[in-house]
Amino acid sequence: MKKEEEKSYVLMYVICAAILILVQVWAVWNEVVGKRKWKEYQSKFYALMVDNAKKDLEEAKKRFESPDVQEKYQVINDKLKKAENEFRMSGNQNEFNKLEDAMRAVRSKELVPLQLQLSDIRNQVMEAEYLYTKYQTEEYRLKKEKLENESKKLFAIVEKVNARMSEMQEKKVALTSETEKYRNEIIPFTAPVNKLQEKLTLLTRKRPSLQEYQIHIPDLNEVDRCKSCHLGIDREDSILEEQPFKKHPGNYIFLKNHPLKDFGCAVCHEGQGRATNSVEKAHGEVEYWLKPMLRGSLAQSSCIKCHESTENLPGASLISKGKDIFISKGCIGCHDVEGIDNVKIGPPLTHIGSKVSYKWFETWLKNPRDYYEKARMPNFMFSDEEIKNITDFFLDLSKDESDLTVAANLEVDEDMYQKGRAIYNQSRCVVCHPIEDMGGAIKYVYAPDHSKIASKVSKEWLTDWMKDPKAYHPETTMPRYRFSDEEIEALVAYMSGEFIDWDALEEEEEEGEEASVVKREIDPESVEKGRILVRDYGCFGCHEIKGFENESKIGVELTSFGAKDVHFLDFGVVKNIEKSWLSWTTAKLENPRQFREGISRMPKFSLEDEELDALLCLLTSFKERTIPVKYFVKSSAAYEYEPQGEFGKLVKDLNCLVCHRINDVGGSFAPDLTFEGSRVTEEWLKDFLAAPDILRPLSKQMPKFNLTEEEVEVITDYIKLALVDDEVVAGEELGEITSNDVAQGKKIYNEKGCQSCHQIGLEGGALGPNLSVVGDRLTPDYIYMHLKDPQKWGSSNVAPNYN
Amino acid sequence: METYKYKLIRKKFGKSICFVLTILLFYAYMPLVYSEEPADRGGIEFVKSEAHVMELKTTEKFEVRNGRIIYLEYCAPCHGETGKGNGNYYATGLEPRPSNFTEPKFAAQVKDDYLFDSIWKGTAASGKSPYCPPWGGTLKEEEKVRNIISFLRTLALCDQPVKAKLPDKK
Repeated sequence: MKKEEEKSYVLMYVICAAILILVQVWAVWNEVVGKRKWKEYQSKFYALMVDNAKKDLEEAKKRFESPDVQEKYQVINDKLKKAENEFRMSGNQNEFNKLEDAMRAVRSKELVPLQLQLSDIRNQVMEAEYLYTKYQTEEYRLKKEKLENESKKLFAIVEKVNARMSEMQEKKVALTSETEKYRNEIIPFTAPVNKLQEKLTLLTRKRPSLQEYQIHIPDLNEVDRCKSCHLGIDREDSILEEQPFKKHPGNYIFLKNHPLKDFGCAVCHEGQGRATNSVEKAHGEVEYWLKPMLRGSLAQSSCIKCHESTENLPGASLISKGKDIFISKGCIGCHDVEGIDNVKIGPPLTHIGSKVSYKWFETWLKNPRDYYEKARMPNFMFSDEEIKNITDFFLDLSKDESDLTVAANLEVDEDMYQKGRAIYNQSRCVVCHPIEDMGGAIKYVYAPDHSKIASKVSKEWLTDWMKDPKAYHPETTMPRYRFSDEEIEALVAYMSGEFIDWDALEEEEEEGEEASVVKREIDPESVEKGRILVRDYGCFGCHEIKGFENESKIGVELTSFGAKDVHFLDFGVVKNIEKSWLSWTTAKLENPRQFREGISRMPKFSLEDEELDALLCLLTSFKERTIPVKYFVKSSAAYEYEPQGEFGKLVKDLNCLVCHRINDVGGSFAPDLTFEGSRVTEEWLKDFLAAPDILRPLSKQMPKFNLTEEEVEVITDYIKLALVDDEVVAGEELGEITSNDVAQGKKIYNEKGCQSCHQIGLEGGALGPNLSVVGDRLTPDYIYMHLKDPQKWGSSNVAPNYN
Repeated sequence: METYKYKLIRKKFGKSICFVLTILLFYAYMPLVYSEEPADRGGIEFVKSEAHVMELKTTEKFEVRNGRIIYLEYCAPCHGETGKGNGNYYATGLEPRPSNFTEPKFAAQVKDDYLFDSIWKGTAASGKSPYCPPWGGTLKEEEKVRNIISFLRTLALCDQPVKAKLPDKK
């Protein structure tokens, strides 16, 4: 064995050194190329910026060099040259130089020493003042006064010198005024090119520093580095319409209200904001990252994190639509979700036996959409046996053993029919109730189609319903018209003769008349089976049913469904779809029972594509809120407005707030009434409530509710007292109206194209209200203020602002 | 004593070599583990691993969607929900008629800047009839008008009626 000092370790060192060098190279390569994709994006971004600047410059140059611009430019340029020449030739130049020298001499020889002296004396004055206030002796007082006088004298001298200076300055300016004028005129021609040139040199002068951009928001415990690649995200305009260089679309809503430095990106878009080593990882679109990036409109699902209400929230149309669907399709009937109020959207079924016929009930249960295309109720895919059981159960519940006769009547009295028809039209039933898909202008209100209604309900029920809808269904949106008994009789006669299901009638005739009148024996066993079915399918989620008041919802709670991991979703027998949350949820909504036939009870909703998207967006948003309270945005309604007293009762009875809106509560179909009191005159309001005249197109007209005089009085008083705004005062600006004003106004009315939306007499459009008698309707103050800012008092979103 | 010290040093040396080699091997092995990832990502396009992407099937650009919402509220009463210039009964009496945006000729003729000015300042400002009012004061955001234009551009591409629905508001 060799001694230690005789051994050679060269080979070992060479190998180590080689490894070290390799690692070094590898690290550098990784830093520059491999894992730093964003560097590539950034250099490309800056290259694009330079390209764009070059393009702009070339365009500006082209515009500058175009013949007509050049012509004008040359004219001014020639003038400028001439003026400069003259300036030089006429000796003005010499004079100018002389003046400048003189000014310099005065400044350095007279002004500067004087100013020094002045500040010295001022200091002495201050000292004297201080001493005088301290000792209060005569000696100091005299000294102080003397110094003050001296300073005043000196100041006067300085002023004189200054006056001389400004005199000279004026002379100087006068000499060059001609050339200066042309110089200013030439600026608009050369400025754009110069500016762009400057920008370009600034961009190309030094190599842009490539750096990682990191946003850290401690309050949200959020770090993201998205801007490292998406460099142009918060720019005014896109540098290239392609990711990652595009700007964020809709910035007037999004980044303007949510500045990047306070919110970052991942708060709304999720994903793995910290990652920078690959696109997939940064977007969180890899297998084990639980929050993949929300692309496109799905990002709206994050609005709910902070915004209490998404209603009318700009940029959140999809999720607010999703929420509407979730409520209006009755999802909430089976699935609990924190933050969404329980509503039973269906009519109560406790007395259904007195309303509809056995036959209709069966047809409806078979598939509601077969009977009425826009039915809200989903298809539960019941078997015939199940339908029989459920029908028996409900008829037994309402203690009606016989099959009732429907209202349909082929032989109505012609007089009554015509009378009823007039009332039907006057009551504007068609605004809510479509007839074979015509009408039904209020899209957000679900009202049954009237075209086959007489073959569905009984005459007695229809009469009672018209008298007081709330007696049967307390939550209904149908207003209580104050019809007299004769009017109701006429209306029922009209509806019985008009809205008959002719197909069903034909079928019945074929089967023989006895089939419809025969008494039906209800089997108690079938009733019991029906009761179990009603409980299993959770009918009580949407309908008020006696005996099921204390049942709990049958569906899974969805409060944190959006955060559910894909491994917890049961794909059952379905093998041909992607293993992802989105595809599972889509499949579930499209065909709810496909995963486990026979066990799943969710009905089929037949959603349109848009509805499906909206619901998916809402479901994505069902996650636990992890945002600190200070980020929360309360809904715009400061308090839940609920009118009280007599007026409150009337509002409830007439369901005014289904169409109208007051203090951010209510529908959007009819005008917002929050400031109605400042808007209309009292006389007009009274007349209108008693008998609404034609103000808007037929499909938007207010129905006649047959209000009594006292009721009109109550409403008018409330509106005039409570629904006002003191700011609606034109005051001094609106003086006495003269005939000249009227002519002027008429001219402007025609010039500005008011007639394209408003009608006066027989001419004009019908988008805005008819203005024929607007003078009687609106107060002059309101007309004045409305023209100044049409949106301020909420009467119209669409009225253009001409100011 | 001497021998003991020497042994200790040699043992340590072997260990550290092993350590470095293990780390190197580990990193050399890494690409094999992640081989399912597309190795070549040249250019700026990236490959999506479809299964984990949260994106709705019907993707529509924000500009177009937002443009449609604004169009349906402000423009559709006269220009029609499908852009043919046949807005409900509101616009029947207007002469000249509201523009037909589905006309390919019209779309090819007008430039974005012209459309912008006509919407922002009203048609009267471009020397036409005063029937289309200036919307600048009402819309307030220039981007809204640009979105409307993006939507109008989609109208001219296809002649069939575009599915346009008013968002149901309550």
